[in-house]
Amino acid sequence: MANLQMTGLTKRFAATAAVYDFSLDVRDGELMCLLGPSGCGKTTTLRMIGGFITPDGGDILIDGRSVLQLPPERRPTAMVFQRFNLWPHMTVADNIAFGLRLRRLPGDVIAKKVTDVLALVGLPDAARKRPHQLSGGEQQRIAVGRALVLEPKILLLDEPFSNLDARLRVRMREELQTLQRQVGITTVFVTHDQEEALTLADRIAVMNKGVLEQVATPDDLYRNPRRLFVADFIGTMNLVPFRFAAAAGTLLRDGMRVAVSGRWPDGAEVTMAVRPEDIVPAEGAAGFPVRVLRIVNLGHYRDVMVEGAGIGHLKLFTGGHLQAADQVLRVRVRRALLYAEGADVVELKEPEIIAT
Amino acid sequence: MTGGSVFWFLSVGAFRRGLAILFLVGLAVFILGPLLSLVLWAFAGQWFYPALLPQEFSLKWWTVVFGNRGVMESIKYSLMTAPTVTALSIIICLPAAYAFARFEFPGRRLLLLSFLSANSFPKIGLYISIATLFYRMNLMTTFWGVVLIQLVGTLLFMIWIPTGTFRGINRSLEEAARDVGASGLRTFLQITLPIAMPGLLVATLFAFLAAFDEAQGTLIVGSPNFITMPVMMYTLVLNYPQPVGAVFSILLTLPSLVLLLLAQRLLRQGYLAAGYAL
Amino acid sequence: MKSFGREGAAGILLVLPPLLLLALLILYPAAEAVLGTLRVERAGHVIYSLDRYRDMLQTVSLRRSVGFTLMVTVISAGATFLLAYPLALYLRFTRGWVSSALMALFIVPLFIPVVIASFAMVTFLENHGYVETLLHYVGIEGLPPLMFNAVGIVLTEVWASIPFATLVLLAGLQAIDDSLIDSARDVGAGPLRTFVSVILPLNTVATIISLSFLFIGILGSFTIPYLVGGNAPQMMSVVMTNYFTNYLRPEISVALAAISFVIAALAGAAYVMGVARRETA
Repeated sequence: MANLQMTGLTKRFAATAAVYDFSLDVRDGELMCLLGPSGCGKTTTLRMIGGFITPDGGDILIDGRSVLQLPPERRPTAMVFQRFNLWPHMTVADNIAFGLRLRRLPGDVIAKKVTDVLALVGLPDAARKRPHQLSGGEQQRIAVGRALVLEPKILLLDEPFSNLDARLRVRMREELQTLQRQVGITTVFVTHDQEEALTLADRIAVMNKGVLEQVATPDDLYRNPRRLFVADFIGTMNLVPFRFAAAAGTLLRDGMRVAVSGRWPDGAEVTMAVRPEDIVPAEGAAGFPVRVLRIVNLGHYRDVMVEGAGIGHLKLFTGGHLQAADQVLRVRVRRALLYAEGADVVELKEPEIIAT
Repeated sequence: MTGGSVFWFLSVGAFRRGLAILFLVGLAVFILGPLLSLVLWAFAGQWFYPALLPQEFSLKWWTVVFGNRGVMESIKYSLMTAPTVTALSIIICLPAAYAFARFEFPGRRLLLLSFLSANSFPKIGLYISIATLFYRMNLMTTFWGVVLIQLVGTLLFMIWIPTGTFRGINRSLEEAARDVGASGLRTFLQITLPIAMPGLLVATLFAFLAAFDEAQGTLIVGSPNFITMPVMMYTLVLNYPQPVGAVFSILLTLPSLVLLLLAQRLLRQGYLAAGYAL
Repeated sequence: MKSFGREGAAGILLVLPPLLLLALLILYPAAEAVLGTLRVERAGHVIYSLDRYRDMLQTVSLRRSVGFTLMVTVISAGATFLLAYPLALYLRFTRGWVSSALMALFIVPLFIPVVIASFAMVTFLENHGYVETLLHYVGIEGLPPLMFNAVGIVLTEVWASIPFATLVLLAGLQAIDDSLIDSARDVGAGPLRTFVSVILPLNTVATIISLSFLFIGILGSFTIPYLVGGNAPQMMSVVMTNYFTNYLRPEISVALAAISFVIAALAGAAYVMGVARRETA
């Protein structure tokens, strides 16, 4: 079990920086997710940890010692790739035993380890089978087993479930989480699926265009996204752009104004971000009016699209009462986050939103 | 792609770089050395051992070659037959290649194999039979006789490579076209063919070279009246001073070199190797 | 036996033109020629027997020719393969200027007609040829003859065969996904181990294809041994030609061709089995 430290990692391909000044600490036994859209540099970072790509700058330390000089075959890391993990010309048992045989372990020890790890991943009868006889999910499980059998310090996974169908993906996620907790191995998991990250991770590092945007626990990331990109990327978020009028101390847009105690330059573009669950029906004359456009009944809650003069389209989640479209009602915002270029995020509780 | 990483096959950095460069130099000498030697001979007025370069450079052998009527005629015949053969090969082989790639019919695999095996029977052994056949059909020492015999040599390339290429095209691309109403032929011409073009160009390249360089069959059918450049080459090599053969070699290689330059583009995009993915 | 159907009929129709050409110009003449070698006259009757072949193989010069051909073919194919594999590996796994240079270089022989390649080799390797000149320049003398013997044939065949072998092996290597190789490194396999345990087995089909095509091609090659070979022993293709044009004994010529074909067919069988293995994998 080990901790992993990345300091100032940089990698350039041609003229662009795929990863730029990336620093992250992964604690012992933690499951850290690298999350971001395609091209954000998460896979590049993972491959640098594994030793398949040499960084142009920065360092990688496992248990305080730099591993930068070590090639993949000598690093205490084990990787599970997105596909083509298992060697097709070998049986499952041989696939798992391959690394063990390289370490010259005695035959009976190897046999026992293979049996144990197959039991661990829930495929005790797969030993004599060939990869093509297994389903995609089973193959990935064997791949995880093959990685774990070598007792590496760090387990690396590169979107291992993205090639599987949706329901299988959910199941594999849960199994991986259970397994990881059981074995207690420090894990770095790359994904572009934020739902996957929110479910699996102890902490999530959100990346965008090669840069680390924010690293936090799933809850924290959801509740307190520190940058607009993260706010938009995680979960569903309503985004409404405003302009700050310093003299009046308000955010202004066509048909709407919000009183704020602000510290932005006059005329600055400020985006207000509101979670759908933070838009609730208002009592009496409070709040501002909206018209219901569409209701999607998702069983235990309703996903409602509304339109307000001056505020465009909003999504809100709500329990029971809204029945029909075209209904007009008043809503209020419980909590909003304000983002502006070059400034820290500002939290606004129960903002006073006035329709003009 | 293990992007950016160095060649990891040997452990020490400088050593492996040096080894690779050594291999490159060795291969370059082996492959380019004979060609360089040939080029020097083509311009050698006087060249005696052990001089590194000809004592005297001259173009006199070029005049000898261009002045030889037989030689000039062979050039003409080569330039007539090779393109004809290539065109015919495309016409009769591409539909067959498409059939091999897409249709299921009895004996498909056997037939595909027979094209391969046919080239393994030494042409000399077919001498008499082909000669007899062609006599009967009045094809001996004629243009069309030579075309036919050269055509046979191109079948292998024009069927195998396009078959592999067509097979590599995802069926759903064609099915989508049929789905919106295109006929089989239109789909083939407007969808399949353009996508298959790189592989087909590779095949055409090899077919052309096979036709252009064909010697044995043309020797049987063409001599003594209809001689192409490769057949002429035999005579020149065996009966004339070295520089003459060298000059003619350069002439004979020119079309290939032009095609080589064109092929470099295809090569860089990995199509040549893909064409060999059997 | 698959059912015919419209697709089947269309398939056969489209395949017919090249097939007919093949049958007319190769299959039929070959069959007729070989049958001719089996016809022996005995006591006024014509019967079919292998007498001619038996007599041939009892002739020392012909036996030596067959043996010589096999030896040269095996050595040439082997040498080409041993040169092409590392080259293909390097091209598959490395980028850089050396890689690009090699890529441009190994393709060159493909575009040189075999006649010219042979002739160029002659000027290069002959007595007082360019190699001897270069070595003399650096002070090395007394090289054994490299031309007009087996050595000359092998060197020229290797020269001409490198592009094809490398391309086939390279295509096979490119089909191996990077993560299969990265996985091996990840579990601790060094380069040699990865090559032996992962790359080599997964590239078996390309290996079989390249070796069998090399063998068949070199076995049947005529121009190179004709221009580059010595006077004795000679490759079968040259002997065949001599028996036809010089000695005017065409039936021996054809019989030799038949033997050559049978040997090639055996190599071809290896290819077929290699392909069959892939189709089931």
